[in-house]
Amino acid sequence: MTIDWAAMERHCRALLPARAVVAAAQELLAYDCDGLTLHRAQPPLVVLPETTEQVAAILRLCHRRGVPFLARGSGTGLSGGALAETEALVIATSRMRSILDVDLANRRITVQPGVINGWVTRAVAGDGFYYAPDPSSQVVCSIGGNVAENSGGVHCLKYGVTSNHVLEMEVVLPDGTVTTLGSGLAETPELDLRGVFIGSEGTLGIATAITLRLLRAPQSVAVLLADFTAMEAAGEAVRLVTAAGVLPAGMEIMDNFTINAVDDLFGRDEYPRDAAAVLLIELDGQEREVTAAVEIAGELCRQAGARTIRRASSEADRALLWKGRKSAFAAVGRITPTYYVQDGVVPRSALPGVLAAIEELSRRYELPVANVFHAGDGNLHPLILYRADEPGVIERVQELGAEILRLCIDAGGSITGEHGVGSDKRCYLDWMFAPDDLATMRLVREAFDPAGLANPGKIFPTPRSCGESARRQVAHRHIKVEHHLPKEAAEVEQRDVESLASLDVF
Amino acid sequence: MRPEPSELQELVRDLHRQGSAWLPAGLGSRLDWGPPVQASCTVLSCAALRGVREFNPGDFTITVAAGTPLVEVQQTLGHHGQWLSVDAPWGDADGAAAGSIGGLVARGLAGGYRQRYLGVRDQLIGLELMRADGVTARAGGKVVKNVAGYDLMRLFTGSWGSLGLITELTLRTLPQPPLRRSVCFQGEAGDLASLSRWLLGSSLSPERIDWWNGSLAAAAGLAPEPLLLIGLASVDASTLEEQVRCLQERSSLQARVLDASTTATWLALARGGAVTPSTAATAPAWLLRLGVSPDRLETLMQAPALAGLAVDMAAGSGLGLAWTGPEGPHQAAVTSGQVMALRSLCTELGGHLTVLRQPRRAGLPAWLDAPSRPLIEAIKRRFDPSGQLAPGRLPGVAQSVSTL
Ligand SMILES: Cc1cc2nc3c(=O)[nH]c(=O)nc-3n(C[C@H](O)[C@H](O)[C@H](O)COP(=O)(O)OP(=O)(O)OC[C@H]3O[C@@H](n4cnc5c(N)ncnc54)[C@H](O)[C@@H]3O)c2cc1C
Repeated sequence: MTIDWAAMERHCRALLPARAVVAAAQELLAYDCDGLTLHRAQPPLVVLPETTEQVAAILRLCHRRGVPFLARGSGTGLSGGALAETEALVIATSRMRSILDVDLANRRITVQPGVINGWVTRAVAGDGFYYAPDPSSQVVCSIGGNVAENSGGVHCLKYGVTSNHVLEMEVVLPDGTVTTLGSGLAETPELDLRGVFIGSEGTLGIATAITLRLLRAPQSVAVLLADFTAMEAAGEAVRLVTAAGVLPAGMEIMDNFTINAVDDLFGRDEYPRDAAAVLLIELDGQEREVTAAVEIAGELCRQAGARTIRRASSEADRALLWKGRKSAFAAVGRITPTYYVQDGVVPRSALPGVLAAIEELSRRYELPVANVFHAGDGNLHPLILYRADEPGVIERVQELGAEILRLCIDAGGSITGEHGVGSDKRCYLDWMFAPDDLATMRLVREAFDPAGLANPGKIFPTPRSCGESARRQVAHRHIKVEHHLPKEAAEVEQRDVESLASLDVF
Repeated sequence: MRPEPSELQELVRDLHRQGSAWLPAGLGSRLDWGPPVQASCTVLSCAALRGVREFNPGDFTITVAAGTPLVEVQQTLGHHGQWLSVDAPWGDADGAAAGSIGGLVARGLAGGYRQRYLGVRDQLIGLELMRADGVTARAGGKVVKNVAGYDLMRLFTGSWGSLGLITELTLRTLPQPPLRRSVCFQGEAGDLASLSRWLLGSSLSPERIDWWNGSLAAAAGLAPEPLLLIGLASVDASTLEEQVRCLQERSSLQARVLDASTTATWLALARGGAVTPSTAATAPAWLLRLGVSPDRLETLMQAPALAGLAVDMAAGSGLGLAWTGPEGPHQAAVTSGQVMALRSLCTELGGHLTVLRQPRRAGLPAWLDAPSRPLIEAIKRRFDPSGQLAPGRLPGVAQSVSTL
């Protein structure tokens, strides 16, 4: 079916203020990709509604005319979820940025979907509260996008991901009906449609108001940094700490490649260059408990074979220990300007084995792979480094990326821990799930969106996008990732934009 | 029926061909909770789907067949110093009547441990299910962080058998807290409310903050006064002591410090005392799930509509249970009229009331219509087009009066 976009534009203009409709080609260019810049597609029309009623009116229009649509938050997604591959109306939430209600007595806050993640904490920090899920993109990414991707962050080891923190949502369904999923309480006697909506990557409707749980800020925070001569030893330290009942807020590991990249960037030996791994552990809670936990964790690291251990509790000292980790991607980026990031997950006990296998693959493909990862929950972010101008390199990068995801699945893991499937990884979803599994998931989609208008083509493998993917070993896609600052960055405060420059991708 | 794993699929397909109604069940310990199901309904128990399928202690995840008793899962984990951070369901006074893990998930009702560890739905990372048409499907996986595909784990948690039979579950586990201690306070509702308000706003992280009413305290052999039971856990003894001290200093009420085993005894009392759900003679006439906005709990706890009920609420979430003794002459005190008034009050206080058990002929709908009822019904039609599963039980859809 071909869509009469000129007519759509007229209809949208009848429903929305003039400034809320974007149709000029040069302005549309800003919406042609998300944080994953390798796929680009310019949408035919973008609207910027401000209210739930406007979103509902637009979706009713789409429904009447059979026009596909997709929501877009801040455009920082890393799986091509906000990409308008098929001709679709883009509904951007960047003008839906009000905090609707702060209810500290019940430790909850209600926001519009375009509200930036970091603003939530900022709104309640003065009262000693915060919003726990903290993706590294938190100065730019939106709560609506977080809900759609079920985003995580460094502290999700202890505090959980987005889904653990959403109480209630107002959602506009693909036929334009407005409904409420969940209630202001953690449990409601109804099917948990709130739970299934979170992480559905915009394929079930558009969230227009989200009620989040707030947590009390911990009394004390400490960071411990240990270095090891073997990756296995670092893995063992993670295991020992976890088993001891010490639940750190986060545990991050950097490999030797990254350590050297960081040292090169800093121009001094921040970390011992011969270390196979550096482990960072952040602990939080009551002051006395944190002191005790640092003691225990330090001892266990030593037991696992740590060479040196550094500790920090003041904010400035903590920042110092984190600095190398936070600069890791910038450091790697200096070696080659282009890299491709994966988001695979493995069971924690499989970490050392999978890392060794990735190293072996890296040698075989003659492509460096840097590993910086959330060790506490087994979420890997291998970065494949390459020079885009090297002939034939793209194919090699693709194959290596696919093999790494294979490794994760074979180890009992997943192809994505927090970035979502989107358009980027849909052709691998059937590596994880059988046709009946996917068909059962599709039942949900058919109930929410029988006409299939919401973010079409995402998540699920289709013959058109993937061919015979079940038998395919390698995806035939063009993979070239540049570091990309989403256009919406321009709309957030200057201070945020400056900190974005030093932003660490994961 | 209690099919062996090898017979299950064929049986379900047969039921599907015949269009027969059936009720997915665990060990059958609490089948009478919630809306009544059609009498002719076949009960399909997963009692024969039993055992730990995969457990690697280093991963802190466990995969179990849905019919495995919760107690067995906890025992297996306990040998490795781990546990599943959920409360046993109501009616499990002696720790043996918890029912199956699948049943716990299908009900999705969390207890006081939610304060620190979140709910049942938050522990679930993978699921295998059998649909009404006999098709087996999986979602999630075996790793703690995973966003591949839709989250059917949450959809099935609290689904009451309405969408399919849960056949296998993968859950996250935690190391057992090395040290546990509880502190309990008794006094006026106002004093307890201000203590709990302070505690919830403090940086302490108790495992549970349970608020009992006077009747429940009396059933535990204590003065018939409201009580706040605060469970603490830590890796460090001096931290525990400091927290206990901190609480003592905070309130003018007398603090009573309980060790882990006394706490366990008290918690068993709060799960129904000597009452076991399997014997009809001792089952409670009324068992209600209550929820209110946490800041309105004080109002609820003082409401006349709670007269005659033992009440145990979690102060942080505003969720809990209320119940009476078994049906009998002395129970006439709690009427459906009173429960209806309680339901309106809960709604007014930002929450809801679910009737888990009620006397025969009381005739209250277990739950009311949710705002998303049409969508809930659309999901039901997709998963169970011929309406075979648990007819009359669809969470978020009030039963019509004629089926009551
Ligand atoms: C530098 C950088 C660092 C990052 N770090 C992390 C990290 O640490 N952890 C992590 O998990 N992710 C991380 N990400 C990925 C990304 O930031 C998250 O996925 C984020 O949640 C996306 O939010 P967004 O507002 O940019 O969404 P977008 O990219 O605009 O959209 C993402 C998806 O959400 C859908 N969507 C948006 N709004 C709505 C709505 N209101 N209703 C329904 N669907 C909607 C879209 O259709 C799309 O499918 C990072 C990205 C970058 C660029």
